[in-house]
Amino acid sequence: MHKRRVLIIDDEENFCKLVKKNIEQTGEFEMHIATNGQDGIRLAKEIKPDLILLDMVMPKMDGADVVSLIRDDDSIKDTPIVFLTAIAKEEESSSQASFTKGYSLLAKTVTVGELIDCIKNNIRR
Amino acid sequence: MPVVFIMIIIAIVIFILIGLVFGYWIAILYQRKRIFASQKPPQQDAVPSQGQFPPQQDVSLPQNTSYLEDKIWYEAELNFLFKFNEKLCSAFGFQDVIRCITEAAHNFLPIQRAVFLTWDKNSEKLTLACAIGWDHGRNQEPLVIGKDSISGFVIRNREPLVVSDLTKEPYLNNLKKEEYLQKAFISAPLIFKNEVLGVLHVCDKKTLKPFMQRDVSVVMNIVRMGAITLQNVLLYEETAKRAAELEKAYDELKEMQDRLIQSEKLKAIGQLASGVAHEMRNPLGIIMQGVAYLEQIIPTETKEPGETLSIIKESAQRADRIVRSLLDFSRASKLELHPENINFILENSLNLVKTELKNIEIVREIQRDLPKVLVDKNKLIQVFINLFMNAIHAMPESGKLIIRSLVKQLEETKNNIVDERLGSFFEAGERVVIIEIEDTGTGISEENLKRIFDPFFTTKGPGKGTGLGLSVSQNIIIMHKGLIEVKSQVGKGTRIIITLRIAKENGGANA
Repeated sequence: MHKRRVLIIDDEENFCKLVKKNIEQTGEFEMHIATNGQDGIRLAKEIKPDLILLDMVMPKMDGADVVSLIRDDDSIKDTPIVFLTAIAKEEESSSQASFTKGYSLLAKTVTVGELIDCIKNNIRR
Repeated sequence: MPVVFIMIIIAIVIFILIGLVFGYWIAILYQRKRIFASQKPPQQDAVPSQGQFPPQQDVSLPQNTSYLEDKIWYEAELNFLFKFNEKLCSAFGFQDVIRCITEAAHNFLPIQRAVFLTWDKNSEKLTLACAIGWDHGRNQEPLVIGKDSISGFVIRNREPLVVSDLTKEPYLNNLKKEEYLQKAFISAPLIFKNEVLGVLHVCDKKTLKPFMQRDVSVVMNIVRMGAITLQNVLLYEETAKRAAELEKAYDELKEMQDRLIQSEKLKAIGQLASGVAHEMRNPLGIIMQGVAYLEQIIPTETKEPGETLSIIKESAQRADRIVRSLLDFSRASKLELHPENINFILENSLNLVKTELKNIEIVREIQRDLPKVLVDKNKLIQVFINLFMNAIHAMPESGKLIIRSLVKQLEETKNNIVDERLGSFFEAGERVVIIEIEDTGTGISEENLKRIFDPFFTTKGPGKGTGLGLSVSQNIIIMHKGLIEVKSQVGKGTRIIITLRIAKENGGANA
């Protein structure tokens, strides 16, 4: 079976590494890591992921900047995005900043099961 | 001859002496019967305005003739004044003192009516305050008299007026004659330190004898003593009013200060929270992902590492819950208000804690036709869940959870309290929705009750409560311009009362 490609863009490298290990354990996904926005966009154009896990707060280029660059690029503009954040609570996504509207929002302390469910749901959409 | 001459002279002298004695006796008798001409008492008998006391008697007024009668009268007057003074001292309140003055005049003097009117210098009007022997009619409007009346005349002159026949007083003709005044009367103003407080009228002698100097003297003594007491009462009432105003102002200020401190505290925590949450959740996320990874690769039969991992996982989750609670503060500034039915929100919230209820009986005392209230539904659910969970924790074995909702129009009950709710929050007449969540649990001690809304205050064991639940709930209710109160009795249970305003535009909208 063809493995789904998931790109995680987060400045917390250790977090990325562990998420990669956990998600790849399922055998259904192929994880790619970028630890800043620029690398993330470059990698996205290159591998054309099925979904992007994106941290909201990052130095230099934050989640909002990354989203607008992705949406401006025809080759990747339809890629589903799931936001990972340390400060937001998932149930509050509706009242968050406008750029996250319509996207799934997960706390960084989410369980692996919930994370995988969310990825699957967004890819199916 | 000389003897006859001497005898004639002696007889003439005796005759003259008898004539003198008899004439004097006749003169005194005549004076006793002389009707006291209607006249204002002389100047020096006027009510003292600066605490001077006038002479007790005046030569132009009818006098009592016999020494014995005088003695009996003055003894009776002294005895009466002594008792009157005693009564005045025990009188409490303005109306009580007025009643005491009017009754005293009516009881001591042989008169038919005693009427007291109070004087308002601002409106320049007199108001009937007490009448004995005359009925104004209970259901009528209070009797108010202008200054163009006989009472007004007395107040202007600041002296007592003594009238023996009202029909024969041309100088009173252009004044309005009050209906209670009879043919003969004494009208005396109550003056204290130049301030006129009222007028006392005593009307018509029962014996139909003229008013005498001693009658005026008694009335003057009554009004003098009465004026002092009345002024004292007024001062006392004024002081009490000021004290109540000050107390109210102090309470409001304290309430406002408490709220300010609370809101500043919450603001500071909110700012700290969002900063801390970001820094905390990244490493927490790493720990939780790491634990999840290790859980998968460590064989299940290796009990020891598995147990350690689950401890790490639980601790990380606990830390995450604290961060979540902290985040509630930083988010508290935004509300998404919509007209909502509070009963639905209560039911929704109850559904979310259903699994925790176990041996707890739910009693609903819900008012069905509750008007909609402008609230942030999610925030309110958060509050109700918090309160339900607290109630559940307070009843570990079993108990009753009573949920009440009602609409109410607040009434003014005490000085500064509106329906037991502080006036600084709500006004009398305001329509509110009241939500009560009551449990039959362990209750909260008086000491803890004071700190219950303080952030991080908890009585639950380590890891069981963050101490932020009620603090967040209070913040949310305050943001809705509502009020949350706690009433509790140790061993009996706790009642949380939430009062929310019904927005005017939704005042009539039924759910």
